[in-house]
Amino acid sequence: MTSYLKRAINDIRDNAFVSSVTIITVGLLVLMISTFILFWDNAGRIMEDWRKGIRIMAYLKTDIADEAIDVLMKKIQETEGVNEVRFISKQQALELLKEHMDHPGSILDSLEDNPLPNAFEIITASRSDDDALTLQQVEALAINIKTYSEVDQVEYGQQWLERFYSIFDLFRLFGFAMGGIFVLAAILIIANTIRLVIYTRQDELQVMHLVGAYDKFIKIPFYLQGVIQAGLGSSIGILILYAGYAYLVSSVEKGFLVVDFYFLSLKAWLLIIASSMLLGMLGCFLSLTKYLKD
Amino acid sequence: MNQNENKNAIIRLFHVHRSYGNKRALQDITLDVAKNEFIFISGPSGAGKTTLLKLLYLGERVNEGQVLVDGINLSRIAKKSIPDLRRKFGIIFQDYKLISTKTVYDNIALVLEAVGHNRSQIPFKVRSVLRTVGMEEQINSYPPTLSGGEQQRVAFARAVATDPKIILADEPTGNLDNESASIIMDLLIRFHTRGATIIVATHDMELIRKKGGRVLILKEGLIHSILFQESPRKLRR
Repeated sequence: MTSYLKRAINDIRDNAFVSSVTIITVGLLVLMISTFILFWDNAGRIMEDWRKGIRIMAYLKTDIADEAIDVLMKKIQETEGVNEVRFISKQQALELLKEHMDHPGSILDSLEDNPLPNAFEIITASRSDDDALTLQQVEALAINIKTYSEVDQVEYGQQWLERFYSIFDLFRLFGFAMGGIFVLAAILIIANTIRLVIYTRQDELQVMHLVGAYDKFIKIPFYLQGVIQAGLGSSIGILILYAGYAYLVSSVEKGFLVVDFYFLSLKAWLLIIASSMLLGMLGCFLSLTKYLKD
Repeated sequence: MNQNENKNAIIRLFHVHRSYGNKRALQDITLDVAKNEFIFISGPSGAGKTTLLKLLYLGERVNEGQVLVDGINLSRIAKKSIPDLRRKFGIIFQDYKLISTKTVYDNIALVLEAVGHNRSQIPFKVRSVLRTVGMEEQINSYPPTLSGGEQQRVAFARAVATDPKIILADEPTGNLDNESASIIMDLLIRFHTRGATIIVATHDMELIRKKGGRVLILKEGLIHSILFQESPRKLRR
Protein backbone atom coordinates (compact mmCIF):
# COMPACT_ATOMS: atom_id res chain seq x y z
CA MET A 1 0.00 0.00 0.00
CA THR A 2 2.95 2.32 0.69
CA SER A 3 4.07 2.06 -2.94
CA TYR A 4 0.53 2.83 -4.14
CA LEU A 5 0.42 5.87 -1.86
CA LYS A 6 3.82 6.98 -3.09
CA ARG A 7 2.66 6.65 -6.69
CA ALA A 8 -0.54 8.54 -5.92
CA ILE A 9 1.44 11.41 -4.37
CA ASN A 10 3.92 11.41 -7.27
CA ASP A 11 1.05 11.46 -9.76
CA ILE A 12 -0.54 14.43 -7.99
CA ARG A 13 2.84 16.21 -8.17
CA ASP A 14 3.45 15.24 -11.81
CA ASN A 15 -0.01 16.46 -12.81
CA ALA A 16 0.16 19.57 -10.65
CA PHE A 17 -2.15 21.72 -12.76
CA VAL A 18 -5.02 19.27 -13.08
CA SER A 19 -4.59 18.21 -9.45
CA SER A 20 -4.77 21.86 -8.35
CA VAL A 21 -7.94 22.36 -10.39
CA THR A 22 -9.50 19.32 -8.68
CA ILE A 23 -8.45 20.45 -5.21
CA ILE A 24 -9.71 24.01 -5.80
CA THR A 25 -13.01 22.74 -7.25
CA VAL A 26 -13.58 20.47 -4.26
CA GLY A 27 -12.52 23.29 -1.92
CA LEU A 28 -15.01 25.74 -3.44
CA LEU A 29 -17.80 23.17 -3.38
CA VAL A 30 -17.13 22.31 0.25
CA LEU A 31 -16.92 26.03 1.10
CA MET A 32 -20.29 26.59 -0.54
CA ILE A 33 -21.94 23.61 1.12
CA SER A 34 -20.43 24.16 4.56
CA THR A 35 -21.36 27.88 4.44
CA PHE A 36 -24.92 26.80 3.79
CA ILE A 37 -24.73 24.21 6.59
CA LEU A 38 -23.26 26.80 8.96
CA PHE A 39 -26.06 29.30 8.39
CA TRP A 40 -28.71 26.62 8.35
CA ASP A 41 -27.38 25.12 11.57
CA ASN A 42 -27.26 28.48 13.35
CA ALA A 43 -30.63 29.64 12.05
CA GLY A 44 -32.09 26.30 13.08
CA ARG A 45 -30.59 26.63 16.56
CA ILE A 46 -31.98 30.16 16.96
CA MET A 47 -35.43 29.08 15.82
CA GLU A 48 -35.28 26.06 18.09
CA ASP A 49 -34.37 28.30 21.04
CA TRP A 50 -37.35 30.51 20.26
CA ARG A 51 -39.57 27.48 19.99
CA LYS A 52 -38.34 26.17 23.32
CA GLY A 53 -38.83 29.52 25.01
CA ILE A 54 -42.46 30.18 24.11
CA ARG A 55 -44.24 32.07 26.90
CA ILE A 56 -47.89 32.22 27.85
CA MET A 57 -49.17 35.29 29.70
CA ALA A 58 -52.12 34.60 32.02
CA TYR A 59 -53.73 37.88 33.20
CA LEU A 60 -55.63 37.57 36.50
CA LYS A 61 -58.91 39.10 37.55
CA THR A 62 -58.59 42.16 39.81
CA ASP A 63 -60.14 40.85 43.01
CA ILE A 64 -57.99 37.78 43.64
CA ALA A 65 -56.56 37.30 47.13
CA ASP A 66 -52.82 36.73 47.56
CA GLU A 67 -53.39 33.22 48.98
CA ALA A 68 -55.46 32.26 45.96
CA ILE A 69 -52.71 33.56 43.69
CA ASP A 70 -50.17 31.34 45.50
CA VAL A 71 -52.41 28.28 45.17
CA LEU A 72 -53.06 28.95 41.50
CA MET A 73 -49.33 29.47 40.83
CA LYS A 74 -48.59 26.10 42.38
CA LYS A 75 -51.30 24.42 40.29
CA ILE A 76 -49.96 25.89 37.05
CA GLN A 77 -46.41 25.00 38.03
CA GLU A 78 -47.43 21.35 38.33
CA THR A 79 -49.16 21.29 34.95
CA GLU A 80 -47.46 19.16 32.31
CA GLY A 81 -45.47 21.18 29.74
CA VAL A 82 -44.85 24.06 32.13
CA ASN A 83 -41.26 24.69 33.02
CA GLU A 84 -41.42 27.90 35.03
CA VAL A 85 -44.08 30.26 36.35
CA ARG A 86 -43.28 33.81 37.39
CA PHE A 87 -45.74 36.12 39.11
CA ILE A 88 -45.70 39.69 37.80
CA SER A 89 -47.60 42.03 40.05
CA LYS A 90 -49.46 45.02 38.60
CA GLN A 91 -46.76 47.34 40.09
CA GLN A 92 -43.95 45.33 38.47
CA ALA A 93 -45.85 45.40 35.19
CA LEU A 94 -46.14 49.19 35.37
CA GLU A 95 -42.41 49.54 36.13
CA LEU A 96 -41.59 47.27 33.18
CA LEU A 97 -43.86 49.33 30.96
CA LYS A 98 -42.12 52.53 32.06
CA GLU A 99 -38.73 50.95 31.32
CA HIS A 100 -39.73 50.01 27.80
CA MET A 101 -41.31 53.36 26.89
CA ASP A 102 -39.09 56.17 25.57
CA HIS A 103 -41.05 59.03 27.20
CA PRO A 104 -43.27 57.39 29.79
CA GLY A 105 -43.52 60.32 32.19
CA SER A 106 -46.35 62.39 30.78
CA ILE A 107 -48.88 59.60 30.14
CA LEU A 108 -48.16 57.11 32.91
CA ASP A 109 -47.71 59.79 35.64
CA SER A 110 -51.11 61.20 34.84
CA LEU A 111 -52.82 57.89 35.69
CA GLU A 112 -54.63 57.91 39.05
CA ASP A 113 -54.88 54.09 39.33
CA ASN A 114 -52.63 51.38 37.90
CA PRO A 115 -54.80 49.85 35.12
CA LEU A 116 -52.56 46.82 34.59
CA PRO A 117 -53.60 43.41 36.00
CA ASN A 118 -51.54 40.92 38.00
CA ALA A 119 -50.22 38.22 35.70
CA PHE A 120 -48.34 34.94 35.45
CA GLU A 121 -45.56 34.53 32.92
CA ILE A 122 -45.52 30.83 32.04
CA ILE A 123 -42.44 29.45 30.26
CA THR A 124 -43.45 26.31 28.43
CA ALA A 125 -40.29 24.23 28.32
CA SER A 126 -36.65 24.37 29.31
CA ARG A 127 -34.18 25.62 26.69
CA SER A 128 -32.08 22.56 27.34
CA ASP A 129 -35.08 20.32 26.85
CA ASP A 130 -35.22 18.64 23.49
CA ASP A 131 -38.97 18.05 23.73
CA ALA A 132 -40.27 21.55 23.05
CA LEU A 133 -44.05 21.87 22.84
CA THR A 134 -45.80 21.77 19.51
CA LEU A 135 -48.22 24.51 18.52
CA GLN A 136 -51.18 22.26 19.43
CA GLN A 137 -49.72 21.53 22.86
CA VAL A 138 -49.20 25.26 23.53
CA GLU A 139 -52.82 25.89 22.50
CA ALA A 140 -54.09 23.08 24.76
CA LEU A 141 -52.03 24.40 27.68
CA ALA A 142 -53.40 27.92 27.16
CA ILE A 143 -56.99 26.63 27.07
CA ASN A 144 -56.35 24.62 30.24
CA ILE A 145 -55.00 27.69 32.08
CA LYS A 146 -57.93 29.77 30.87
CA THR A 147 -60.35 27.37 32.64
CA TYR A 148 -59.19 28.57 36.08
CA SER A 149 -61.75 31.00 37.45
CA GLU A 150 -59.06 33.41 38.66
CA VAL A 151 -57.72 33.85 35.13
CA ASP A 152 -59.25 36.62 33.11
CA GLN A 153 -57.34 36.35 29.84
CA VAL A 154 -54.60 34.21 28.28
CA GLU A 155 -52.25 35.37 25.55
CA TYR A 156 -49.60 33.40 23.75
CA GLY A 157 -49.27 35.21 20.44
CA GLN A 158 -51.37 32.68 18.58
CA GLN A 159 -51.15 34.28 15.14
CA TRP A 160 -47.43 34.93 15.50
CA LEU A 161 -46.85 31.36 16.64
CA GLU A 162 -48.79 29.90 13.73
CA ARG A 163 -46.71 31.99 11.32
CA PHE A 164 -43.50 31.07 13.15
CA TYR A 165 -44.23 27.36 13.02
CA SER A 166 -45.08 27.45 9.32
CA ILE A 167 -41.85 29.39 8.61
CA PHE A 168 -39.92 26.92 10.74
CA ASP A 169 -41.32 23.94 8.79
CA LEU A 170 -40.67 25.69 5.48
CA PHE A 171 -37.13 26.50 6.60
CA ARG A 172 -36.44 22.85 7.43
CA LEU A 173 -37.90 21.64 4.14
CA PHE A 174 -35.89 24.25 2.21
CA GLY A 175 -32.74 23.22 4.08
CA PHE A 176 -33.13 19.54 3.26
CA ALA A 177 -33.98 20.30 -0.39
CA MET A 178 -31.01 22.66 -0.80
CA GLY A 179 -28.73 20.23 1.02
CA GLY A 180 -29.83 17.44 -1.33
CA ILE A 181 -29.24 19.61 -4.41
CA PHE A 182 -25.81 20.68 -3.14
CA VAL A 183 -24.74 17.09 -2.44
CA LEU A 184 -25.96 15.93 -5.87
CA ALA A 185 -24.15 18.82 -7.54
CA ALA A 186 -21.03 17.97 -5.53
CA ILE A 187 -21.10 14.32 -6.68
CA LEU A 188 -21.50 15.35 -10.32
CA ILE A 189 -18.85 18.06 -10.22
CA ILE A 190 -16.32 15.88 -8.38
CA ALA A 191 -17.01 12.93 -10.69
CA ASN A 192 -16.59 15.14 -13.75
CA THR A 193 -13.44 16.79 -12.42
CA ILE A 194 -11.90 13.39 -11.78
CA ARG A 195 -13.08 12.28 -15.21
CA LEU A 196 -11.15 15.24 -16.60
CA VAL A 197 -8.07 14.08 -14.68
CA ILE A 198 -8.44 10.58 -16.08
CA TYR A 199 -9.08 11.96 -19.55
CA THR A 200 -5.83 13.92 -19.47
CA ARG A 201 -4.02 10.75 -18.43
CA GLN A 202 -5.59 8.38 -20.92
CA ASP A 203 -2.23 7.62 -22.55
CA GLU A 204 -0.78 6.55 -19.23
CA LEU A 205 -3.78 4.34 -18.51
CA GLN A 206 -3.55 2.83 -21.97
CA VAL A 207 0.16 2.11 -21.60
CA MET A 208 -0.33 0.44 -18.23
CA HIS A 209 -3.12 -1.64 -19.67
CA LEU A 210 -1.07 -2.70 -22.65
CA VAL A 211 1.98 -3.74 -20.67
CA GLY A 212 -0.18 -6.05 -18.58
CA ALA A 213 -0.67 -4.11 -15.36
CA TYR A 214 -3.36 -5.62 -13.15
CA ASP A 215 -6.43 -3.50 -12.53
CA LYS A 216 -5.56 -2.91 -8.89
CA PHE A 217 -2.15 -1.54 -9.89
CA ILE A 218 -3.89 1.02 -12.11
CA LYS A 219 -6.93 1.77 -9.99
CA ILE A 220 -5.65 1.95 -6.40
CA PRO A 221 -3.40 5.00 -6.97
CA PHE A 222 -6.30 6.74 -8.74
CA TYR A 223 -8.63 6.04 -5.82
CA LEU A 224 -5.97 7.27 -3.41
CA GLN A 225 -5.51 10.42 -5.49
CA GLY A 226 -9.27 11.01 -5.48
CA VAL A 227 -9.34 10.59 -1.71
CA ILE A 228 -6.25 12.77 -1.12
CA GLN A 229 -7.44 15.54 -3.44
CA ALA A 230 -10.95 15.53 -1.98
CA GLY A 231 -9.52 15.48 1.56
CA LEU A 232 -7.17 18.38 0.83
CA GLY A 233 -9.84 20.35 -1.03
CA SER A 234 -12.46 19.91 1.69
CA SER A 235 -9.96 20.80 4.44
CA ILE A 236 -9.02 23.97 2.57
CA GLY A 237 -12.72 24.81 2.06
CA ILE A 238 -13.47 24.41 5.76
CA LEU A 239 -10.38 26.39 6.80
CA ILE A 240 -11.42 29.27 4.52
CA LEU A 241 -14.90 29.13 6.03
CA TYR A 242 -13.41 29.17 9.54
CA ALA A 243 -11.21 32.16 8.67
CA GLY A 244 -14.29 33.95 7.30
CA TYR A 245 -16.27 33.08 10.41
CA ALA A 246 -13.49 34.22 12.75
CA TYR A 247 -13.15 37.50 10.83
CA LEU A 248 -16.93 38.08 10.89
CA VAL A 249 -17.26 37.35 14.60
CA SER A 250 -14.26 39.48 15.59
CA SER A 251 -15.08 42.45 13.35
CA VAL A 252 -18.81 42.69 14.05
CA GLU A 253 -19.49 44.98 16.99
CA LYS A 254 -20.58 43.23 20.13
CA GLY A 255 -24.28 43.66 20.51
CA PHE A 256 -24.85 43.69 16.77
CA LEU A 257 -25.08 39.93 16.80
CA VAL A 258 -28.10 39.56 19.07
CA VAL A 259 -27.68 35.80 19.20
CA ASP A 260 -24.68 33.53 19.66
CA PHE A 261 -23.27 32.43 16.29
CA TYR A 262 -21.46 29.12 16.51
CA PHE A 263 -19.03 27.45 14.08
CA LEU A 264 -19.54 23.88 12.92
CA SER A 265 -18.73 21.24 15.48
CA LEU A 266 -15.60 19.10 15.12
CA LYS A 267 -17.90 16.19 14.34
CA ALA A 268 -19.43 18.17 11.46
CA TRP A 269 -15.94 19.10 10.17
CA LEU A 270 -14.86 15.49 10.15
CA LEU A 271 -18.13 14.38 8.59
CA ILE A 272 -17.80 16.91 5.75
CA ILE A 273 -14.16 15.91 5.08
CA ALA A 274 -14.95 12.19 5.25
CA SER A 275 -17.97 12.64 2.94
CA SER A 276 -15.82 14.57 0.47
CA MET A 277 -13.20 11.81 0.50
CA LEU A 278 -15.92 9.26 -0.10
CA LEU A 279 -17.27 11.37 -2.98
CA GLY A 280 -13.73 11.58 -4.37
CA MET A 281 -13.56 7.80 -4.36
CA LEU A 282 -17.04 7.51 -5.88
CA GLY A 283 -16.04 9.99 -8.60
CA CYS A 284 -12.96 7.85 -9.36
CA PHE A 285 -15.06 4.72 -9.46
CA LEU A 286 -17.56 6.23 -11.93
CA SER A 287 -14.82 7.59 -14.18
CA LEU A 288 -12.52 4.57 -14.08
CA THR A 289 -15.37 2.21 -14.84
CA LYS A 290 -15.93 4.14 -18.05
CA TYR A 291 -12.29 4.23 -19.16
CA LEU A 292 -11.04 0.85 -18.02
CA LYS A 293 -13.21 -1.72 -19.67
CA ASP A 294 -10.66 -4.25 -20.93
CA MET B 1 4.67 -23.48 -43.80
CA ASN B 2 4.91 -27.21 -43.12
CA GLN B 3 3.52 -29.27 -40.24
CA ASN B 4 6.74 -29.09 -38.19
CA GLU B 5 6.70 -25.32 -38.35
CA ASN B 6 3.08 -25.31 -37.16
CA LYS B 7 4.06 -27.17 -34.01
CA ASN B 8 6.60 -24.46 -33.40
CA ALA B 9 4.06 -21.65 -33.86
CA ILE B 10 3.78 -19.08 -31.07
CA ILE B 11 0.90 -17.27 -32.78
CA ARG B 12 -1.88 -18.93 -34.78
CA LEU B 13 -4.84 -17.29 -36.48
CA PHE B 14 -7.67 -19.40 -37.96
CA HIS B 15 -10.16 -17.79 -40.34
CA VAL B 16 -10.20 -14.55 -38.38
CA HIS B 17 -12.76 -11.89 -39.22
CA ARG B 18 -13.02 -8.44 -37.73
CA SER B 19 -15.51 -5.72 -38.75
CA TYR B 20 -16.33 -2.20 -37.57
CA GLY B 21 -20.02 -1.82 -38.33
CA ASN B 22 -20.36 -2.49 -42.05
CA LYS B 23 -16.63 -2.04 -42.70
CA ARG B 24 -14.69 -5.29 -42.87
CA ALA B 25 -11.24 -4.65 -41.41
CA LEU B 26 -10.01 -8.24 -41.65
CA GLN B 27 -11.47 -11.15 -43.57
CA ASP B 28 -10.64 -14.83 -43.27
CA ILE B 29 -7.07 -14.41 -42.02
CA THR B 30 -5.26 -17.67 -41.34
CA LEU B 31 -1.64 -17.37 -40.31
CA ASP B 32 1.03 -19.06 -38.18
CA VAL B 33 4.00 -17.20 -36.75
CA ALA B 34 6.84 -19.41 -35.55
CA LYS B 35 8.79 -18.87 -32.36
CA ASN B 36 11.70 -16.49 -32.99
CA GLU B 37 10.37 -15.61 -36.44
CA PHE B 38 10.79 -12.06 -37.79
CA ILE B 39 7.73 -11.32 -39.88
CA PHE B 40 6.55 -8.17 -41.60
CA ILE B 41 2.92 -7.31 -42.14
CA SER B 42 2.65 -4.89 -44.99
CA GLY B 43 0.04 -3.29 -47.17
CA PRO B 44 -1.46 0.12 -47.85
CA SER B 45 -3.11 2.28 -45.18
CA GLY B 46 -6.42 0.80 -44.03
CA ALA B 47 -5.40 -2.71 -45.10
CA GLY B 48 -5.86 -4.02 -41.55
CA LYS B 49 -2.24 -4.18 -40.29
CA THR B 50 -2.91 -2.40 -36.98
CA THR B 51 -6.15 -4.32 -36.45
CA LEU B 52 -4.28 -7.60 -36.89
CA LEU B 53 -1.74 -6.61 -34.22
CA LYS B 54 -4.50 -5.46 -31.86
CA LEU B 55 -6.20 -8.84 -32.10
CA LEU B 56 -3.05 -10.48 -30.74
CA TYR B 57 -2.90 -8.53 -27.47
CA LEU B 58 -6.67 -8.19 -27.17
CA GLY B 59 -6.73 -4.52 -27.98
CA GLU B 60 -9.60 -5.72 -30.17
CA ARG B 61 -11.55 -8.97 -30.26
CA VAL B 62 -12.31 -11.10 -33.29
CA ASN B 63 -15.85 -11.30 -34.63
CA GLU B 64 -15.22 -14.76 -36.03
CA GLY B 65 -12.36 -17.24 -35.99
CA GLN B 66 -9.73 -18.13 -33.41
CA VAL B 67 -6.49 -16.59 -32.25
CA LEU B 68 -3.95 -18.56 -30.23
CA VAL B 69 -1.00 -16.91 -28.56
CA ASP B 70 1.60 -19.14 -26.93
CA GLY B 71 -1.04 -21.86 -26.61
CA ILE B 72 -3.74 -19.57 -25.14
CA ASN B 73 -7.02 -19.40 -27.03
CA LEU B 74 -7.97 -15.72 -26.86
CA SER B 75 -11.67 -16.45 -27.40
CA ARG B 76 -11.74 -18.31 -24.11
CA ILE B 77 -9.41 -16.19 -22.03
CA ALA B 78 -10.78 -14.96 -18.68
CA LYS B 79 -10.77 -11.20 -18.14
CA LYS B 80 -8.44 -11.54 -15.16
CA SER B 81 -5.89 -13.36 -17.35
CA ILE B 82 -5.66 -10.61 -19.98
CA PRO B 83 -2.79 -8.79 -18.16
CA ASP B 84 -0.81 -12.06 -18.11
CA LEU B 85 -1.35 -12.42 -21.87
CA ARG B 86 -0.18 -8.85 -22.48
CA ARG B 87 3.02 -9.47 -20.50
CA LYS B 88 4.11 -11.80 -23.31
CA PHE B 89 4.25 -8.77 -25.62
CA GLY B 90 6.40 -5.71 -25.95
CA ILE B 91 4.52 -3.21 -28.07
CA ILE B 92 6.02 -0.31 -30.03
CA PHE B 93 3.73 2.32 -31.54
CA GLN B 94 4.22 4.83 -34.32
CA ASP B 95 3.33 7.66 -31.89
CA TYR B 96 5.56 6.23 -29.10
CA LYS B 97 2.87 6.56 -26.39
CA LEU B 98 5.33 7.81 -23.79
CA ILE B 99 3.94 9.56 -20.70
CA SER B 100 4.94 13.17 -21.24
CA THR B 101 4.73 14.14 -17.55
CA LYS B 102 7.19 11.43 -16.49
CA THR B 103 10.90 11.26 -17.07
CA VAL B 104 12.51 8.64 -19.30
CA TYR B 105 13.45 6.73 -16.15
CA ASP B 106 9.91 6.85 -14.75
CA ASN B 107 8.35 5.80 -18.07
CA ILE B 108 10.31 2.55 -17.98
CA ALA B 109 10.29 2.03 -14.21
CA LEU B 110 6.49 2.31 -14.18
CA VAL B 111 6.19 -0.57 -16.64
CA LEU B 112 8.60 -2.73 -14.65
CA GLU B 113 6.68 -1.94 -11.49
CA ALA B 114 3.39 -2.71 -13.24
CA VAL B 115 4.54 -6.22 -14.16
CA GLY B 116 5.79 -6.88 -10.63
CA HIS B 117 9.54 -6.63 -11.28
CA ASN B 118 11.74 -6.85 -8.20
CA ARG B 119 11.65 -3.28 -6.89
CA SER B 120 15.28 -3.13 -5.84
CA GLN B 121 16.39 -4.24 -9.31
CA ILE B 122 14.35 -1.67 -11.22
CA PRO B 123 17.00 1.13 -11.30
CA PHE B 124 19.62 -1.31 -12.65
CA LYS B 125 17.22 -2.74 -15.20
CA VAL B 126 16.17 0.71 -16.43
CA ARG B 127 19.81 1.81 -16.85
CA SER B 128 20.70 -1.44 -18.57
CA VAL B 129 17.90 -1.25 -21.12
CA LEU B 130 18.55 2.44 -21.79
CA ARG B 131 22.21 1.63 -22.35
CA THR B 132 21.16 -0.98 -24.91
CA VAL B 133 19.22 1.60 -26.91
CA GLY B 134 21.85 4.31 -26.38
CA MET B 135 19.68 6.58 -24.27
CA GLU B 136 21.29 6.33 -20.84
CA GLU B 137 22.38 9.97 -20.97
CA GLN B 138 18.77 11.12 -21.28
CA ILE B 139 17.54 9.14 -18.28
CA ASN B 140 16.21 12.24 -16.49
CA SER B 141 14.79 13.96 -19.59
CA TYR B 142 11.11 14.35 -20.28
CA PRO B 143 9.84 12.87 -23.58
CA PRO B 144 8.75 16.19 -25.14
CA THR B 145 12.36 17.41 -24.95
CA LEU B 146 13.61 14.47 -27.06
CA SER B 147 13.65 14.06 -30.85
CA GLY B 148 11.28 11.58 -32.53
CA GLY B 149 14.06 9.04 -32.98
CA GLU B 150 15.09 9.35 -29.33
CA GLN B 151 11.50 8.99 -28.16
CA GLN B 152 11.09 5.86 -30.24
CA ARG B 153 14.28 4.43 -28.74
CA VAL B 154 12.88 5.08 -25.25
CA ALA B 155 9.61 3.45 -26.32
CA PHE B 156 11.65 0.52 -27.59
CA ALA B 157 13.48 0.29 -24.27
CA ARG B 158 10.16 0.30 -22.46
CA ALA B 159 8.82 -2.46 -24.72
CA VAL B 160 11.79 -4.77 -24.19
CA ALA B 161 12.41 -3.95 -20.50
CA THR B 162 10.10 -6.74 -19.39
CA ASP B 163 11.87 -9.32 -21.59
CA PRO B 164 8.78 -10.15 -23.67
CA LYS B 165 8.56 -13.24 -25.83
CA ILE B 166 6.98 -11.32 -28.70
CA ILE B 167 7.66 -7.78 -29.90
CA LEU B 168 4.90 -6.08 -31.88
CA ALA B 169 5.93 -2.94 -33.73
CA ASP B 170 3.20 -0.91 -35.39
CA GLU B 171 4.79 1.38 -38.01
CA PRO B 172 7.78 1.87 -35.67
CA THR B 173 9.65 4.03 -38.17
CA GLY B 174 6.64 5.86 -39.59
CA ASN B 175 7.55 9.19 -38.01
CA LEU B 176 11.34 8.86 -38.19
CA ASP B 177 14.11 9.99 -40.51
CA ASN B 178 16.25 7.34 -42.24
CA GLU B 179 19.00 7.33 -39.65
CA SER B 180 16.60 6.92 -36.72
CA ALA B 181 14.63 4.30 -38.63
CA SER B 182 17.84 2.37 -39.21
CA ILE B 183 18.69 2.46 -35.48
CA ILE B 184 15.25 1.12 -34.56
CA MET B 185 15.52 -1.60 -37.17
CA ASP B 186 18.94 -2.63 -35.85
CA LEU B 187 17.51 -2.82 -32.34
CA LEU B 188 14.68 -5.06 -33.56
CA ILE B 189 17.21 -7.32 -35.27
CA ARG B 190 19.33 -7.44 -32.12
CA PHE B 191 16.37 -8.57 -29.99
CA HIS B 192 15.41 -11.08 -32.65
CA THR B 193 18.83 -12.68 -32.39
CA ARG B 194 18.34 -12.84 -28.63
CA GLY B 195 15.32 -15.07 -29.17
CA ALA B 196 12.26 -12.79 -29.39
CA THR B 197 9.55 -13.24 -32.01
CA ILE B 198 9.18 -9.98 -33.93
CA ILE B 199 6.11 -8.81 -35.85
CA VAL B 200 6.48 -5.48 -37.61
CA ALA B 201 3.56 -3.77 -39.32
CA THR B 202 4.90 -1.36 -41.92
CA HIS B 203 4.32 -0.11 -45.41
CA ASP B 204 8.00 0.87 -45.70
CA MET B 205 9.35 -1.55 -48.34
CA GLU B 206 12.88 -0.21 -47.86
CA LEU B 207 12.78 -1.42 -44.25
CA ILE B 208 11.57 -4.85 -45.38
CA ARG B 209 14.28 -5.11 -48.04
CA LYS B 210 16.95 -4.20 -45.48
CA LYS B 211 16.02 -7.01 -43.07
CA GLY B 212 14.39 -9.60 -45.29
CA GLY B 213 12.16 -12.44 -44.09
CA ARG B 214 8.56 -13.44 -44.46
CA VAL B 215 6.18 -10.66 -45.51
CA LEU B 216 2.43 -10.91 -45.19
CA ILE B 217 0.76 -8.44 -47.52
CA LEU B 218 -2.75 -7.34 -46.64
CA LYS B 219 -5.11 -5.55 -48.96
CA GLU B 220 -8.59 -4.40 -47.92
CA GLY B 221 -8.53 -6.78 -44.96
CA LEU B 222 -7.61 -9.86 -46.98
CA ILE B 223 -4.30 -11.69 -47.29
CA HIS B 224 -3.14 -10.55 -50.71
CA SER B 225 0.08 -12.58 -50.71
CA ILE B 226 2.82 -13.99 -48.53
CA LEU B 227 6.32 -13.33 -49.85
CA PHE B 228 9.76 -14.23 -48.69
CA GLN B 229 12.20 -11.36 -49.04
CA GLU B 230 15.83 -12.44 -49.19
CA SER B 231 18.01 -10.50 -46.78
CA PRO B 232 20.63 -8.23 -48.43
CA ARG B 233 23.38 -10.37 -46.88
CA LYS B 234 22.03 -13.52 -48.55
CA LEU B 235 21.54 -11.67 -51.79
CA ARG B 236 25.15 -10.48 -51.73
CA ARG B 237 26.34 -14.03 -51.07
